[in-house]
Amino acid sequence: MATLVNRAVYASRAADERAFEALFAAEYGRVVAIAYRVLADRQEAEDVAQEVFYDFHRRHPADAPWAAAWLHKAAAHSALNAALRRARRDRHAAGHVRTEADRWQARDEADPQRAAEASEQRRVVAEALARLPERSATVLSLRYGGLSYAEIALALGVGVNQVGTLLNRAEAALRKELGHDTRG
Amino acid sequence: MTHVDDGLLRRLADEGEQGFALDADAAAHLAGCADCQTRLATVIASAQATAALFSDPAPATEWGPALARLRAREAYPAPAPAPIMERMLPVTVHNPLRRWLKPLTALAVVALAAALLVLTPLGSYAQGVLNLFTPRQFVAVPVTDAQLRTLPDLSDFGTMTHPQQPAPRTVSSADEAAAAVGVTLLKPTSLPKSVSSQVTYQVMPGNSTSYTFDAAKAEATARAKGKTATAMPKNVNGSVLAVTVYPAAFVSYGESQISLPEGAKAATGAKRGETQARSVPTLVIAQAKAPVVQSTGATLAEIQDYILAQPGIAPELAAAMRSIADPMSTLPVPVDVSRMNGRAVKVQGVDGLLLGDATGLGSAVVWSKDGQVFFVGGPLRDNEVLDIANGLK
Repeated sequence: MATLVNRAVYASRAADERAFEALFAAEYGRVVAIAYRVLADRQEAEDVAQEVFYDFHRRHPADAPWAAAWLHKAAAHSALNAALRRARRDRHAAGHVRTEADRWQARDEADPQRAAEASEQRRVVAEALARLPERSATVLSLRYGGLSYAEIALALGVGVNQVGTLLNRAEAALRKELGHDTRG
Repeated sequence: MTHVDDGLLRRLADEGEQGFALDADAAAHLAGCADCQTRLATVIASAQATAALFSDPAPATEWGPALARLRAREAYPAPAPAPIMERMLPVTVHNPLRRWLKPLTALAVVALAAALLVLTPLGSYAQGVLNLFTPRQFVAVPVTDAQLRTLPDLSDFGTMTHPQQPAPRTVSSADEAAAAVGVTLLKPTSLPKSVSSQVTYQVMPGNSTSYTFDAAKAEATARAKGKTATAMPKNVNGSVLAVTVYPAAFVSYGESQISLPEGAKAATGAKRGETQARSVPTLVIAQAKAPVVQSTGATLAEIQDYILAQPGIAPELAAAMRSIADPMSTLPVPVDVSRMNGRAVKVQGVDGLLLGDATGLGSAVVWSKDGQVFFVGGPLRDNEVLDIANGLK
């Protein structure tokens, strides 16, 4: 009987693994893109994507109808958490308070290629985004991570007609946040 | 006509080129309203300004190496619990039944295991075919995720034929379902108020598959892994297990709203504590002729001994399997203790197994009687499910 039970478990595992691979192929790039809007760093965005897919795989079946929406929301949430941790780490690093510019400079010096890729605007925007209330930061990262209104609505669990309103509000908050930053 | 709100104007600005259009009333209003046109212009300018902030393209990624990296992680998890039951049920991705069956994962394993039973009497057929198994009762064997993860892969020491995935079809009446399945369908005598009277009948066709034990393959697989194969008894080598699953009838009653567990809530954006309701059938009753498992050589005891001696089988699991008093008549049902609970009950005068989802989402009972297997389950309480099962006539 153990044979049959194994057969049952294994047939299902193989099918689930195939479904997970298809999900990964379809959504990996978008999960990275969403995280990248918050982190402005390819490596960190890919690290977030690893955690998001790992967590999903551990907890949920890949053929769940809400799989993509779960991944999108988790991408934004995990990236925002990672941004918070990074900010905290940087504040405590090297025993002195560093400015954002110091931090980016240090990172760029450590990685010439990153420096070459670096865009001042990208950094400033991402940092401002990460300081917004989570809902606002999320809707912006989803939209500019490449999601449609319909997909954003699914990820946030709101009606599609609310997405525009949320975006308008988040955009105003971001502009305000950037206004403080860029003039400083 | 009221003004078009900024949210809709924003969508028009962002997705107008992708085909989004205001409805006729709103479009007509916009065409004649200077105020709305001004606000649309503002929204467009604002959207463009924000888009410029994010004009830096997201990095190009390759999913292949990223997936390889994920799989290389030490604790790469087994796939999330197997919705086997769903694959057996005559439902599609859009059928809400899937939503509550997702969490009822051990139930899924139960259902398939039940579908792999032999209920015909013990004894030899012609050509030396043995009936392997005559279960008269079900028993829960607690398993953990980790134990399931290390189970040996059957394809390591044999070859399986893969049957086609059967496609379910909806039929118009109980009689038609009964005719397709070849049994008399039992009907509930009374139902809880929460169960809808709207009934759907579906038939899942049968299929058969076989598995051939292969000592040479077992040795080759072990060698490739740098290990020594567990000796395969002479009787087991070359032995063919044949599993025949008969058509099954599924009777679904209406739909109701249930709350999703936490994981699913996160997906839909509901805040902690908020109730995320989903529509599912209020009751499912399934019935089929008991499937048949036959062997051309080895006995159940020989096969069980061989499988339980494989390195991936956790000692606790092997012990639990061996401790079953009468292995020829008891079907061990793996129950993931973190998600399910199972207990023995009397149903229709025979021993059955009652399974509850750990989150209280629903419960189900399975039993076998008169050469058939039965399943009654839904987003109901244990005693409701039992009452329905006992009331079937």
